Amino acid sequence: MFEAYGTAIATLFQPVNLLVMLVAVIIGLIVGIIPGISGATMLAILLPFVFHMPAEVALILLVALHAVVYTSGGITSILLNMPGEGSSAATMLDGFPMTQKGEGSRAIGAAITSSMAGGVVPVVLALAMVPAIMPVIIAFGQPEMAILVLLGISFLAALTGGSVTKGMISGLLGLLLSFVGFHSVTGVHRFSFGTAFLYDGIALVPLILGLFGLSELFHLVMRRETAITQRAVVKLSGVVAGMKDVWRHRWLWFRSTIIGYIIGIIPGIGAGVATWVSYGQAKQTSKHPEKFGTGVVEGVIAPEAADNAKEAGALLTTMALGIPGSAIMALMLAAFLMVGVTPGPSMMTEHLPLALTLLLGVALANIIGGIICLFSASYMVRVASVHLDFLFPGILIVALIGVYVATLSPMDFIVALTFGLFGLVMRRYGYSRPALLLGFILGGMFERYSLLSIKIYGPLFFIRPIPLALLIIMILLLNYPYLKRALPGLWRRRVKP
Amino acid sequence: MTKNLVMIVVALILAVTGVMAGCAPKAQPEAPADFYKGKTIELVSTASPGVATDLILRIIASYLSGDTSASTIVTDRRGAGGMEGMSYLYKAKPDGLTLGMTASVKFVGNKVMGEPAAEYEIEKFSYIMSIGRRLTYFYVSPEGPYQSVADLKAGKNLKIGATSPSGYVSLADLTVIKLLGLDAKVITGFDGTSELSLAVKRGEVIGYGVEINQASIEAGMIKPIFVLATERDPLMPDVPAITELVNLSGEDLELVKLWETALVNSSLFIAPPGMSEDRMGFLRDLANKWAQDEGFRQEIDAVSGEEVQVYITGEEVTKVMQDTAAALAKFQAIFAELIEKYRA
Amino acid sequence: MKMKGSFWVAIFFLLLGLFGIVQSLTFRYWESMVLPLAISSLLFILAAVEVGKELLRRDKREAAVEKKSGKEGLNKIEIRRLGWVFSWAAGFSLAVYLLGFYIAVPIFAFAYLKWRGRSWLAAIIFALAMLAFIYPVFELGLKSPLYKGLIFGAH
Repeated sequence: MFEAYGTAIATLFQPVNLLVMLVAVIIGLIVGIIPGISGATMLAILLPFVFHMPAEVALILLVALHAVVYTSGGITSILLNMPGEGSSAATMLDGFPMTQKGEGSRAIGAAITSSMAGGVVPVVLALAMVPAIMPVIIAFGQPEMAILVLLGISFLAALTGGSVTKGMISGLLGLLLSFVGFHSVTGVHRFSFGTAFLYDGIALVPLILGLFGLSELFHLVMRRETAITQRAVVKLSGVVAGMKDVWRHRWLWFRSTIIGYIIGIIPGIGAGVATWVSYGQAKQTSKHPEKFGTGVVEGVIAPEAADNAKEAGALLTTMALGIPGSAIMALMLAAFLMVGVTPGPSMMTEHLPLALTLLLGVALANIIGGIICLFSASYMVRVASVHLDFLFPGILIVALIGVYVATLSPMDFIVALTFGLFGLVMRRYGYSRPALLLGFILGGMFERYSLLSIKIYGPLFFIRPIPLALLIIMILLLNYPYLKRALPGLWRRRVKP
Repeated sequence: MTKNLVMIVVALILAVTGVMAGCAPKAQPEAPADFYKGKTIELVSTASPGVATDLILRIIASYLSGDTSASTIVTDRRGAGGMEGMSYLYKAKPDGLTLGMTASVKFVGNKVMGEPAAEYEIEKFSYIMSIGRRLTYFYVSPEGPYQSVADLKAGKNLKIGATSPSGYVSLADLTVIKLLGLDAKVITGFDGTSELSLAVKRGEVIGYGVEINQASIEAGMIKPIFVLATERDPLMPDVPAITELVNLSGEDLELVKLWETALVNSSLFIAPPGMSEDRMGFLRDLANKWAQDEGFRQEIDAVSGEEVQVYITGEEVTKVMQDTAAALAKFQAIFAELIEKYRA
Repeated sequence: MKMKGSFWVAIFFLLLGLFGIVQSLTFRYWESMVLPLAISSLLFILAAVEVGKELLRRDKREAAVEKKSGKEGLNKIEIRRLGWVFSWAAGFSLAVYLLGFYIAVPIFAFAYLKWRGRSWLAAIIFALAMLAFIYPVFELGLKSPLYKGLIFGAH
């Protein structure tokens, strides 16, 4: 085993491999920032070139690129309210308000540090967890997945903002929108009015870019404001303050990393669940939950840690079991096969040095990517204070390009513009856009898992150990703020002589 | 004032470009080799990025670019299970600048299942080449109670997994249920074969039908018990053909043969309907040349994860599709009845 | 009595819920109907509660807070600005649809800046800078060509 580690480290630090990693990290960071271009898209473009490379070089390139996409994905969420990756949407809730308060550097410092560390530490866990992965994955069947997604949906309650009714309306609308399109369980076309355009439902990228990016842009133009309302701290000290915040909230960071990692191990659960569950538990366990959504650093640390940690888990499942849990992991699986390495149980024995090289490569790529982002963070923040005359056309152009690249359909411009207008109205009348997004991301998934569970196990599918445990966790988490206040009082009454 | 001026200028630009577009001179017919020089060929991928069909198309893109001096772009149109791309190709201008690749089993399977979104006719496409020949197997859990056809036939209330009701896994499952006369239901809604393999491992479903799934087999999640064919597959010679295990004739035997021909999973390199003969001939000649090239074959084998032994010419594929189209109505009626009868 | 914008927004959600209920009842198979029907019904009920609140003006404290924060509705100036900005966004989208990104982007960037009263130099430089960013990145770097428009894109 130690020999394998030694070989892996020696391989990783060969000059060629380090150079390839650096190039991959830079490409990955750029891809992560640009809305609409996902890591999966970039990997698909690079795959044919992989065939002509040595196996190690090819895999290091792809793994390093993929590892850092989620590091930079939070930057546009924080600066412009437009997530670079779909899974970075949760970071917007507190990241953008921090920018508006002039704390953009601090938010980026916290996000990058949290994300970087969230991508490094799970690698250690991954190496220890190899024998335990399969039992964990087997234990999570359809009922367990259904209740896990329900746990994510339950955090809608944490996102309602000022008015609970309006927040629930927003969440319900998001759930309803998730049902548009072809229903994979029955083959019925729902809410699509016979159009081919809505066959696959409403695409996520135009919805997010419209609901958050364009609506915010329209709001700024209406109000004749720049993105930030207070003078930005454009110094490295702001970034350092963010880094220190992660250390101050290290237990929150650790919890979020574990949540992201475990959810990442389970195939098919989706990136959205990890970041939203992480955000939700951060709010519920915070000493000041009412401040979430107004620009608190914990609201950035939690989702960013989970967002990167989930990928380490997903990569481990792909390598150790040959089971890809997402589109990007399916591409990684294809890459492994192309270079003659078959992922699966045998990979961890016959190709252990290579597997360790890749896992350590993820950690190193995260560190390199994190350092690059941290040093350029204070410059990136200046984007938010660009004059609106330039910001409006600039962002609109990038947003529409992002919409087209993601869906290849100009018709989705209509979706983005419609949700832009709708998001503005929601914002102005106190409805919760995050709740709508959460409902949209998780609604379809919850329906599919619960229907499969009913068909396989019957209507009482949730009466199983893990679903029941998750339901109890859900109830406890949702009522945590009240329990925290009530329990000490009960305890004092009991012990009073 | 300036604002009005800008508006006028913009409007004029739009008008001028509109007129210019309408007045573009029509191209004169030219030899195919000369026609492609300097042009851009759009290659439409109807598969998810990273799967064999998509990767094969990207390999073809580089060979096509080299042999025609044209630049190639691969566009991803896998919406609606690939039907968006197939419909796009079907309606594209047949000038040789829009080509595409699709997985044959999905391409034909959509029509067999009567999928309304499949807005194309299989016999009208122009076929350049077919790469690969992956037959469909039925898989069960290696540790489960159903290890043979006899076990399946004796089973009651079997749950067989599938992805979408009109997808090819469902098509395979319904075929197996019909051919073996199983007491079974098809549970649809699984999100791909990885999830299905896990469901088999957990015992949530007893099995499902799909092409060779080497990764899941090696991970010990599934094992094949027969192949939907009249002969054994050279890629898995130890697995019996269904005709060795069950006596089939008439309509049932026709169904099995369908799975060996039109429903075999291969990567179809296609062009829109109505292509000119000389351009089709040019493209087919190129494809046949690549099929003989050792470097091309090695690259195809690498992305397919196996040695691809079968390359079928466009003319042969056209014949198969025409024969299948002639019998399509009959198959559609069979499966329409099966879908309703065996859905969970 | 003139109703506030928030009332009409609540009515919109009420109608959406109703639409969802009606549509759901037309879906074949209970599996495709049950969740959309349940969600639509809940949406309808909660929207009705909001409409009721607006009509009865029960939540005066909330209304006062909204008014104080300036978040209540849109005033006429803002609506006019919204009209303009949305028109620009829609116009740009249409231009992209017809002409493609590489033509529409510089035209839009130039035209918008001139409309905002910026100098010719600033408008031209910005327009060219946008084009200089998108063309190398997407066409050359990512090999992911952008939409070339209905007029110039078809073969």
